[in-house]
Amino acid sequence: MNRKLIPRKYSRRDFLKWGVRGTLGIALAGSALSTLRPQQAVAGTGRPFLTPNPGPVARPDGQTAVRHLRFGATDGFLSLPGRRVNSPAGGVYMFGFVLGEVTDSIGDFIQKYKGRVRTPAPIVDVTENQDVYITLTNLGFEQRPDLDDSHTIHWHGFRNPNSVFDGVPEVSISVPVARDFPYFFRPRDEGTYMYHCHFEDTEHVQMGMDGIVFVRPQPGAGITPYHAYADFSTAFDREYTLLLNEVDTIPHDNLLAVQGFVWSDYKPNYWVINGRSYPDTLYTDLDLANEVDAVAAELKNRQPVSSLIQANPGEKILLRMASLGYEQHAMQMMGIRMRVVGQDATFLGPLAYDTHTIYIGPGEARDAIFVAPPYNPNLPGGTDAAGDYNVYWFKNRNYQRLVNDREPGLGGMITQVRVYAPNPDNSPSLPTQEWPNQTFPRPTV
Amino acid sequence: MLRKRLKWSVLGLLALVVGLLSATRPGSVFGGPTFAPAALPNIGLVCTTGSVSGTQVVFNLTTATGFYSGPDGNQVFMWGFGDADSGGAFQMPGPVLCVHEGDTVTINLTNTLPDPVSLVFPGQENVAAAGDQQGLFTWEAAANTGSASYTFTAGHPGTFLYESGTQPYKQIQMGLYGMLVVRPAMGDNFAYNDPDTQFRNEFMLLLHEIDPELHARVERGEPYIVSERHDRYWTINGRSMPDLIADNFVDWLKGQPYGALVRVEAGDSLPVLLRFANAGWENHPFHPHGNHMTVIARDGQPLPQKFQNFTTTIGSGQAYDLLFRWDNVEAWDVSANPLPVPMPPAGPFPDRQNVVYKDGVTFYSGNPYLGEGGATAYQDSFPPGTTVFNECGEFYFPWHSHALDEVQNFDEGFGGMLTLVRVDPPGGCP
Ligand SMILES: [Cu+2]
Ligand SMILES: [Cu+2]
Repeated sequence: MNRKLIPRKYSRRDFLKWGVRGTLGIALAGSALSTLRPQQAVAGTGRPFLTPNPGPVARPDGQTAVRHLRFGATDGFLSLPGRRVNSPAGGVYMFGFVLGEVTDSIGDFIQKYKGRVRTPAPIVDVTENQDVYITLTNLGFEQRPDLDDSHTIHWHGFRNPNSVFDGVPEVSISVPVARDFPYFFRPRDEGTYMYHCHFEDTEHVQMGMDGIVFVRPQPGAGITPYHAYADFSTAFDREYTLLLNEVDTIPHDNLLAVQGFVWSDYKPNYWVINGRSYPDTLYTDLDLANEVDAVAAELKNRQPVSSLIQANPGEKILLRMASLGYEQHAMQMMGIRMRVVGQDATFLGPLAYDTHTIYIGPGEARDAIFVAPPYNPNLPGGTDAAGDYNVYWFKNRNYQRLVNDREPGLGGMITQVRVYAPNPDNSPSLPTQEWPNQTFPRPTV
Repeated sequence: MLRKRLKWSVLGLLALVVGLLSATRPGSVFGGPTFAPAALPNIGLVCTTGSVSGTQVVFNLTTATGFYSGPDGNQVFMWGFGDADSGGAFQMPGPVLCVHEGDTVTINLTNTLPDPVSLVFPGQENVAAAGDQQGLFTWEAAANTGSASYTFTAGHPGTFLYESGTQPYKQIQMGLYGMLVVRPAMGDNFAYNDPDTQFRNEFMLLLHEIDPELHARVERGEPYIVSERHDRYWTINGRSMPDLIADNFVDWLKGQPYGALVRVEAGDSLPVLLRFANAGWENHPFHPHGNHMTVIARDGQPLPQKFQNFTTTIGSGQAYDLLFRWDNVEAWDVSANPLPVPMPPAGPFPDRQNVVYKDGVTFYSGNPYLGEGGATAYQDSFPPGTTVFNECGEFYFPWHSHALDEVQNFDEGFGGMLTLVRVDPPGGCP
């Protein structure tokens, strides 16, 4: 039963301990600043970084429908206030997942996406009882070619998984560089979940290998994709995934400089929603598509998921919140009451509650629905390309987390809810959302 | 600081202990309906029952000094409670005091530490106390040789903490805490007087943190400045991963007698009960892999409406009772109901070129089907040199704090506040 251990490959940690960091560190840091390739465009349609959900498709045997996704694991840079990629400070070094084409060869996938990570990981939008295949390809790290870290996908909260698909390398498998592995899931329970890499989890999750996966209820008997759960009380008109994270830039910088980090020293200095820190949380899809300023140009191919919440008056807005930071958060909505209808991919039923501040801990999820108030020109607001709006703020109540490291002024985990004035003919000014987090006006292709 | 690494080979030994001894001596596996203390379980909750006379239960505790032994080899000075009725040796956490609803419980405390010490029982009411001196919260046993005594009626069933009521910022951190279990009238295999709280087995998961530097200051008699606290170790039942998946009472963890490996059988008609309590100062978001948990009680109070979740944040000082089960929902079978892989465009599954076993060590059986693979299949399933801890195709899932900076032993990952649940195929391993 116990086999003799073969001589271990040198792990990164051994490598670090042997003190080779000096010369290589300089060489790699140099390349990080100088050899950024032009970024591959996100889909030119303005579609953000998420998986299209065609809805369930009947299989000939009447069983389940099939989804097939392709994920790549690689590295890249994050743009934060005070840490712009094109600035002397440089962007924040990240790991993460990118969405690729199922038909691409491993070589083509590496060619297209190695070193071009997006944050957060793709939003995975699936339907109950729909078979989901995710082929994970380890693209390797552009900035750290010396690292041979494997990766996994752990669907956090998935009920009764087979251990091989639970993505924990110590109790199943992990995927080495330049290899594919097919993860398979048959989601039986609707709700908002999350997923992340579980290989050296403390490091890889903080480095950005995490995202939101949600399961729509099986349609039928009046239940549509516009219900969070198979219950009419969870109907919504528009939905937003909000992934909460912290960033401690020291381990990120250390990794880029080929240095270690003692994880019990973790102390974040940025707080982000969908990988964006205020004021970046207010950019729309259109701002990014048009590259309205240098920040938008940086966010476009790095942090393409909007954190801005738009609504027409009277609409029910679903917030699918999950936290994969290591701190506990209290997220406060100012001026609008929220109803928490789901927690940890479980319909709360009689335990649903109304609140203005939602506690959410690491690895927890909440589904909250609010009704957008009527538009009132006398209330605070503004005008953007979608029209005149009233503004409501959604923010972390811990005001120490409303900063960007040492930058002056407001920052961090805060965004806006914009409720738009109807058109002159009283029709709603925002069209129907085609995918989660979509903002308007839609960029022209 | 002395730092040395626990080698996976040591983990191998303990996995063998967990995997094989419990299988070959089924009588010793914890889970009998009576929880007789005579046959100590190798995993699961270990009750200390005290001297029982009718509904009068008496425990005799003593304070003692000892060490937390970390998986990285570090030894951290601790204070703890010992069971004076069985020698009073240092242990952390303290003995698990198990009583029954309605019992009159007396705990006599003898002190050996250089500070006065006392006991408080959050969740218990009308606790009568006597001792050498009156402290801030309760009567105390004087430093070095003092004694104190506490008596209360265990009014309602549940999971509770007991801990020092003197300088808690120092003494609880140093290890003066333990669990109190009050069993309901309905029976010892129920959590509460509610038929829906019946369980097959029960497990303690008692959370805590350690700052080795502060402990060293106590050991050296230097000033203890709690505002400088910086945790480096995170424990369940006084142990850190991987030590905590070793059996109860392994002789190389003398002062840390309680393991935290959880074991269930797929499709069992009854769930297992997890008695969580947080003796630490931080709130810990505890995340089970494998299935949701059913939350049945908080702080010894059954919830009017049970609910399920995939993370329970156990607040500092809080206790949660959770039920867990695992069902082979899809019933994948290698011939009758095969996994729908291979899938295009990848090759056959598992294509062994496409996977690695981290550090050449795994708890995976080499076969994705529950109850398949295992000891006889290793030859064909793994690259040469892989060390495999799997008996008969059982599944393992980690349970851990999702504040992932807490799954460390100082700076080594897959450590700290992380344990495993073992899911056996129906009927167990042959
Ligand atoms: Cu990873
Ligand atoms: Cu997780």
